[in-house]
Amino acid sequence: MNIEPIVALEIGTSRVRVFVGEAREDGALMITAVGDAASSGMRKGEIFHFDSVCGCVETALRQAEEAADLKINEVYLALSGSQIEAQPSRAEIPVDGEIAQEDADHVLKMAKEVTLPADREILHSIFGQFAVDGLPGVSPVGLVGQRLAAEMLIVHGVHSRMVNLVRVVKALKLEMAEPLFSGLCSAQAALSADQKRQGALLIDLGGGKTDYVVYAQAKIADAGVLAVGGDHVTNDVARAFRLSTTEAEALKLQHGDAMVSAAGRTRRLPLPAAAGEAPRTAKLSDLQTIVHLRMEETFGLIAARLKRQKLLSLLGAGIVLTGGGAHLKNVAPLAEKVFGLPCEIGAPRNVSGLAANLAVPEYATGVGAVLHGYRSARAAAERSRSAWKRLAHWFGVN
Amino acid sequence: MAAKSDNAQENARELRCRVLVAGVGGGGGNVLGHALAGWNEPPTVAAINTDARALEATAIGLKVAIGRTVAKGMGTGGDAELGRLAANEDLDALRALVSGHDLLLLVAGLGGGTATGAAPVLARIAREEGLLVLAYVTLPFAFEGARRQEQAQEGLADLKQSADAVVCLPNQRLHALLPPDTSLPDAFAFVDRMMSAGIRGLWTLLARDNMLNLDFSDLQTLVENSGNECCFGYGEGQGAGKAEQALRGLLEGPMLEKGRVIANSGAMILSVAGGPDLSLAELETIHRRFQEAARPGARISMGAAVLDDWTGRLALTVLAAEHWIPPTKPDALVMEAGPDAPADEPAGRRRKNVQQSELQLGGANDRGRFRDVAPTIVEGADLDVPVFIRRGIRIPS
Repeated sequence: MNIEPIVALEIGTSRVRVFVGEAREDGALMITAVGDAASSGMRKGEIFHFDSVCGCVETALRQAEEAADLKINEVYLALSGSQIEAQPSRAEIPVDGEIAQEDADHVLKMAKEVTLPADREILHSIFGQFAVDGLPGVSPVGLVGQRLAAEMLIVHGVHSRMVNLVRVVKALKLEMAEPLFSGLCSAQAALSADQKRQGALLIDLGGGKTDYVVYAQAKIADAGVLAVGGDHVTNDVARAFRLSTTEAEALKLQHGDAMVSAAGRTRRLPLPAAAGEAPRTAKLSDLQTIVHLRMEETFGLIAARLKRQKLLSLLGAGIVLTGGGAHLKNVAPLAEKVFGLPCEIGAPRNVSGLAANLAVPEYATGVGAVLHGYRSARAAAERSRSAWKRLAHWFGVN
Repeated sequence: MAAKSDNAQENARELRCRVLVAGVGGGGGNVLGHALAGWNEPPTVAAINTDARALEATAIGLKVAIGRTVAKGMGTGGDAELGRLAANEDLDALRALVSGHDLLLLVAGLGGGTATGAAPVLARIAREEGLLVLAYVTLPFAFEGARRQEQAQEGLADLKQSADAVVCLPNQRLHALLPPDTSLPDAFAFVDRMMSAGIRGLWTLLARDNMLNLDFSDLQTLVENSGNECCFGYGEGQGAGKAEQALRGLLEGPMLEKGRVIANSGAMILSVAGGPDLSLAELETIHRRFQEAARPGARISMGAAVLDDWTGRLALTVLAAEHWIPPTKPDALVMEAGPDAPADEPAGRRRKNVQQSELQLGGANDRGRFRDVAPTIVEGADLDVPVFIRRGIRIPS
């Protein structure tokens, strides 16, 4: 099976990243090149200044092209922001006797047809499960029954905002393989098959946004994005201590902590001061409080949503954090406290031979997008697979 | 908020305008090289270029080489695209450069590759970092060719998008100020001198203690409501009638189109530089003449600086907003031109008030870097506002 190199592009608020994946002779996927450039012109996961975003993407693409010695023509685009959210969808049809492939295809098509507000567009229709006569989780073709139902999760976002990200790809004269919700990509890369089966919550802490994806009862049960990210922490710090964004970012990276410590109350941190000004300091516990409050709120908003949907009790494998924000000191203990569940820091894992420098939480989205691209390319190559089996494969459990 | 007013004194000192002057490309560097000569207490000045040799040659202390990969230390060969790529390659360096300042005075000769491509990137980065960005640019002379003109126009449009305001000096208009037999190097040098005078005039008024201070907030109001474009004029006078001479040069000269620009402008900043002999009467005359020339209700802010070695000399710099859009926030403390506004009002003291109210407002924009994007409202709360503020937690504690 000959699969072309897979390229994923992630346009984030703080970084723009390009990942190139190639199939080894034994069929395993390897990440062969990474382009990683500073991002500019993005706010909260969305485009704020089109041309600068294009410039940054160009820089990252060039890096990756040079490293992979490859001309990039086509990309899988991992996108976020855009008020992306998910809603379950269910369709049911009467069947007469043995269920045929056509019946399954038909009910799936119906389940995909949801009515959304005019400004929204479907990004993913994720297969959940079939049910025959109320018995869920079955493989229906060949079974006998009266009613066939299909459940799906429809992931959708604001059309114009997603289109703006797609336009970057077009402006750079690249082909678009497929737009992907970045949270789903991170989950693809960072969750093990076991975690998906037992139920898990993945939270990707980005610079401009926070994605979440819930696996419950062996399927994707919810997904969405909160337009709050590391930049908000930085902004809070800048506002509190009257620092520039860069100064606040540096302070956050060096001393930021999601938990307030007793030692923090007595320790003072020097603050940058302009020439000729008296030196200033800040209490470490003040910095910790600012960061703690912001992260606690972010986790709390997600926890409240999952609680409303009665999903919190279904997360047997707990929480996995990815994204650059996963490096924040004590972020996992804070998540454990807010959700009352065990929490670990995740990193891309489902790729063989991943170099240690790539196994970091902030690369989960990009590696996941490559992984998805690779799987769908492989699935497309194996034409014999039935349509719904392919669907199950994309973001599915197997 | 209570904590803030306790510290008002301290704040006043800390919040004094931190100015960064940056020249992008060869032209920008030249202007600043010119401006630096004979500048006693210069602000932070940086030169940004793709051309390593030009950077080495400049007298400017802070040098930022950009695009070492794409431009390989050479110039851009007039290619703006290369200039843009070069700046994008070194976003972090540019961010570090602008960080910690309040105002960026960006200087560029549009038309050249580095200036045209990199200046908009620098402006945008600076705005992202919360600086007020005022770009002083020149446009090429007609004889420099159509391609350069076209590229300059594209760069200008870009820069208007990314800077708070652009002050554009069309070389062609300046040309009218010169005798017809002026040599080319003299013509360029003249443009550099005009530009550096304008920058110096503004900087002097903002960054030091002066006879009549100009507030950063005045500049901010002008620039942010200027419709992205300001006009600039410069006049000089010497001897007994120096104020009159400077005024005449400005109001009747080609730079402000014989006063037409002033008549059209909704707001302007006058900066006067003179020697120890600068008199109140002269300042009053200048203010009155602009009031008469401006349209009724125009906002006129004025500052004056006394430079020790300027006896018998007076320089007048005007920054005017022709496309003024009045701000929505009422600001009763700004002087208005018109028959009711007494010219002899102790303007300095009034401005002090403006400054203090501004200081407290300084932090009122709690959305910070998210101020110009749509808010994220969840369950009635604006998540862009810091959590500690929404919860009423005092920091520093």
